[in-house]
Amino acid sequence: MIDRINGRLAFLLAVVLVLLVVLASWFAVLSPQRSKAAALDTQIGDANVRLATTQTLLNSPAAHQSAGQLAQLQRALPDDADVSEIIRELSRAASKTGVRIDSIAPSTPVPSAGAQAVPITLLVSGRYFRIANFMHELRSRARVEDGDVRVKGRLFAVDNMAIAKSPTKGLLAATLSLDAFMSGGAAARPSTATPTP
Amino acid sequence: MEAVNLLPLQARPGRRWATVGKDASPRRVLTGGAAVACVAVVGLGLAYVHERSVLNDQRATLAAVQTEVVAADAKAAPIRAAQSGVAARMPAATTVTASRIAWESLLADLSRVMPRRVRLQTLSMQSPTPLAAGAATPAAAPATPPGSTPTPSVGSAPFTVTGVATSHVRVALVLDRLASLPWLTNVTLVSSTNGASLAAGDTFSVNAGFNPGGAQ
Repeated sequence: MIDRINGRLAFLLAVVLVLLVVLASWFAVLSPQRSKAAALDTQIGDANVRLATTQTLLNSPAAHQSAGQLAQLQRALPDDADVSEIIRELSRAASKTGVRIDSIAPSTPVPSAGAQAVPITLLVSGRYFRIANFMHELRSRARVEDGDVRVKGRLFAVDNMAIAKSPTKGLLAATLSLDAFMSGGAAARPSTATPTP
Repeated sequence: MEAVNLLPLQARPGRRWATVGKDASPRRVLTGGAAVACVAVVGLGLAYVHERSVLNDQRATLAAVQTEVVAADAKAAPIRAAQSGVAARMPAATTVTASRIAWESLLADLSRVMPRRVRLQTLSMQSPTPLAAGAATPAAAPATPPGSTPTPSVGSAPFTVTGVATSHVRVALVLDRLASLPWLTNVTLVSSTNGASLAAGDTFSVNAGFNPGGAQ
């Protein structure tokens, strides 16, 4: 049969055969391998970028400070109302400034300023400037100045205040609409407490 | 005279390929083609082996990098949790801190401007922007036993003060002094009433608008 074809046709057949073998091998075997290699290369690049980002985070001093900052903010804005701690903090502030707490009446928490506020009606009695100092003490327990968190206790804010003369000589009675803040989530169980100073 | 091309047929222009392989043996051509194809297959096989080796190296590299990423992520997880906790609380803390009123400064201002021979009996101040605006008012103030401290109530105006002065002129002075405070607006006399006796003095009541931002 080979003898029947002439040299030119044989030459063409040989060229076609070689081309077929080369193309078939390329598309069936080599090309998929190269595609896989390219995909792996991309994955390695992505993983390296992620690793570099994480290592930058691990080496940055600011990232390590955030744990301390969170601990302080959790003290100022705890996850739940923690009314017992509110009472303890108010009592400490009262004894420090020389006023007497006559009653504490917390209400159901309400959303406020991106957090939850536990509204408290607080009755205190004392001298004029001691009541002023008591409010200063409440305000200075937690504050943020230029992104710097300074926390000694709970974050409090006074919305309203009313002062009248107390029957006890020389003393004033003050009603404060106080808010104790918490970081969203659990609701407080309203309760009324009258601590002994 | 007629021109004659002396070049052989395959060398003439336009006929270069016309005689390629015409004289070659088909068996030899095909054998040669098969040999070239075999060489090509061997070459491609070697290239495949090389690509496989590259692929294996890349897989090993990827596995190593991913192990490092997992280890680094595990170390970074507490830091990321802390950062998200700070991000959740910081805006609220900043807003509350910025919105709070320094009541102690206002009380100090008030005591500074009050004229002599004037006594305040009640004082009430309401924040124009209370932080717990939606809060329900406590249903009832705690019961006050007879003879114990009464519960002062918050007045209807943002700033309300009542007191006793020795004369109406003193009440006028109170109005002027209150109007000088930057955090009070529209200082208004509600009433000034003569007392029952000379010693009782004049009872007055003053309302005002309250702008604590003016105190800063």
